Amino acid sequence: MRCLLFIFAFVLAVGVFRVEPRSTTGNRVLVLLDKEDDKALYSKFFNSLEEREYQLTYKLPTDSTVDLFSYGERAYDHVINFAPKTKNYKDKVNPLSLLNFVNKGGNILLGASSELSETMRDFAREFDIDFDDIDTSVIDHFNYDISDDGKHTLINAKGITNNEAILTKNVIEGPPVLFRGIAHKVGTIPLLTKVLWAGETAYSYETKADQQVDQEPLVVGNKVMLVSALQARNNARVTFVGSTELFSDRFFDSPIQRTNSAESFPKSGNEDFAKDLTKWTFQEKGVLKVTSRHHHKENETEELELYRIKDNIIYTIEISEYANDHWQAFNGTDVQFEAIMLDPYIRKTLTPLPTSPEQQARKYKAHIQLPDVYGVFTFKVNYKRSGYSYIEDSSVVAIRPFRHNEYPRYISAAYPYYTGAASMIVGFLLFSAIWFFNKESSKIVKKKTS
Amino acid sequence: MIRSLINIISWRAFLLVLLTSVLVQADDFVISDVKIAVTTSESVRKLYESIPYPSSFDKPIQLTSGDDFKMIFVVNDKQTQKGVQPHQAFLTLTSEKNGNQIPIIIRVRENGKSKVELDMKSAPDELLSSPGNYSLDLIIGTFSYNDPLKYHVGTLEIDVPIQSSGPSPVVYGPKPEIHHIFRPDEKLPPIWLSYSFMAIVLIPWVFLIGAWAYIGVNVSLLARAPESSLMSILFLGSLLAIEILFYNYWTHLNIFQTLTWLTGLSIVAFITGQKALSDVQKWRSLGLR
Amino acid sequence: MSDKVSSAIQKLWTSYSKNTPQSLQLIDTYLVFILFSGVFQFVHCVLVGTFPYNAFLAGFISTVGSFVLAANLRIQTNPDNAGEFKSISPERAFAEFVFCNIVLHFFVVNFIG
Repeated sequence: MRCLLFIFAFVLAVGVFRVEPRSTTGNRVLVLLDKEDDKALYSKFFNSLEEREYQLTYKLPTDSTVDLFSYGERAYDHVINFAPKTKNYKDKVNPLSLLNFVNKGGNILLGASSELSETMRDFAREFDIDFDDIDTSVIDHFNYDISDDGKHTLINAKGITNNEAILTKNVIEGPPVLFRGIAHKVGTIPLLTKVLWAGETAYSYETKADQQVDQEPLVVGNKVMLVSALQARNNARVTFVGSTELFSDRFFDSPIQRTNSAESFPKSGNEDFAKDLTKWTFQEKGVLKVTSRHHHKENETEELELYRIKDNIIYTIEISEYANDHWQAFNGTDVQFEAIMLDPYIRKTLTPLPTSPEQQARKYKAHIQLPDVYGVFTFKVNYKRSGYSYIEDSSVVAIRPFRHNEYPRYISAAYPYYTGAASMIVGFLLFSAIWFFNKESSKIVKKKTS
Repeated sequence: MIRSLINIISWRAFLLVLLTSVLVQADDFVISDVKIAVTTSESVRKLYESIPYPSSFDKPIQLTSGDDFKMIFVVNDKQTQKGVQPHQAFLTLTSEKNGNQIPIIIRVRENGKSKVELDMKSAPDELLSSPGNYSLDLIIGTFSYNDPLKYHVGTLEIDVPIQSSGPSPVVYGPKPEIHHIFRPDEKLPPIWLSYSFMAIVLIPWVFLIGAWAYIGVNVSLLARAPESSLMSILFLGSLLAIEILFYNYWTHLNIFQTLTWLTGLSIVAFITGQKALSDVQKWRSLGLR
Repeated sequence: MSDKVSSAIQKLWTSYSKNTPQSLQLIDTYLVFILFSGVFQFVHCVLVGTFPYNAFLAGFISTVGSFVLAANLRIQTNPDNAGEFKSISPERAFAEFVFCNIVLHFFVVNFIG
């Protein structure tokens, strides 16, 4: 009985103290707001984060106590910046500090609006993202929502990424996302992923009624970016959202219906979209890691640092993906192996092996014949796919030429040479034997005997 | 049964067409006097057509380098038939190849008259670097009108030499596989040639045996002094043993085994050799040789 | 002309077979044997190429080496040269010939692959 009670207490304790963060990097979140009251605008959004065991700290960027670092270490794991209007950021949270924060592995969710300050524009430019000028909005006379106020800026996003590392399928196929805010233009760096964009009739401009668009807008049509995601080389993630309103309670609960369209939804896709977007940004999904890596000769098991040219080897790597709050087998099919000495000599797609559900990683395997070039090679799996954290796993091996006794022997082309050498040896023996026992024939007259 | 199903479907299609035409009719804007013209670099007018709105120009409009495309039209309010100045008046070129959109901003005058020009001499790089077919659409929209207008004017066929627009941007994704090309194995001559040369290399033996017979080579000393020949035979035997050891070294022994054997055999060869050769010297001094 | 040449050769041959001791003729025939063994291997190499080069080198060098050693033996045992090699008896010369041949064969076997 006492034993049972003990177990009960233990289970209870585990249940209560289980504050293991869902994110793979941590649960400390700093929320920056333009003013304290703004917190109420996004209460549903912040509540959902707290339900996911994040500890939110609310600050104003003008607050002098706010500091991203303590003693040189990150004081937070993630930053939500919903303070687009604020101009005078304190030094501890200015664009430079935020960049530092990203360099140290911190993740940032940046919400913008038509009143975006130059400070945050500067920050975005560091990531090859160019927000349009102040007071401009995304306008679409074809795709505005029926609840629009006549400015045609409350739009239904038309384009959504189909990258399932970032968004779940039901968000991609679900009701559209409601958006009102500023457009941005993305550069061509491969670290960027377009998440949400406008339709082909959209453009970004000021919304004064008596005005005509007489200068080419920054972006037009499907180049009007609404949400973009960036993953830095250190796997830190920064997400740019052109509309803080996208996360507001009003937009979360709003029904959505495009003008001139019969299709309507009782609730916009915003809440689920925001959930997926924060999950991705805060490293709750699309996170990959290598759990093991091994290479060995065929029919052997020992991993060597020295192989011979043309050796047949087996290379295996196990990759694990974090999704739905646990590590599971990764499902990608395009993991590639490279053998590199300055240039890649071999690139081969690894075969994914089947796994059982309880396995936390999937094994990828390839049979490789090493090149007939010797030197120091790097075996590398350089897996970089948009939406997934990058894998760059390398091991250095030396590849040596044939040893003197590993070359082919008794080659038919050499038979005459073998014969020649044998002939010389036999000739030598025979000559020696005759030299010993030969009796000089007397037919030659010796000149020097006299 | 199937026929009735088809009937239903075609009825649906008809209704859909009706519905969309009604939607088009509901435009607040109306376009009129649409004219297009293409002038070459030598100021020759290649094309001059007026298009009755809302139908499209059905032939592709060809543009080569140096050509100048112009289009004029009038935007009117449908009810009042007066000119309007919309907020958005774009002519967009949408690539049929990759969906890339290139907008041209149109200035509309107060009376609704509009003129738009695409001069290939100053065309955007995006267009010049990716020639091909582009869908030409007129987009007109403004805040006070609920129904914007999208009018498919026709198709542009951009026919210019491809300009490289710098290195293409890096995109993460699987890369093409690389299969290492191994050096081919050395080609071997036909086996009969090898065997023939084995025989050829042995031909000098015929000469050697013949020549030795001719000059009267003999082993007659062997019979004359059998007791002292023993050492010579032992010496020659040790030489033979060393050569046999070399053969075994070639086929399977390693250097250490070989050297061990060689040391032993060398000692035998040295001792017997010394003895045998001093015997030979003795015979020579006796005049036996 | 050709008569002259052939008669000169005839003379040379008669004088050689008359004046050369048989022990030296023994070495001379051995030298010719070695020479042709080497020439045929070289022809083979020219015909089919140098692969496998080490085997060719070993085979060819064995003939060259044997030739040089036999030639040395001939020089040192020639009674005409006895004045020059006073300290070296024919037996001593033969012992050196045997030793050097054994060393040569060892390297050839090592190298022939």
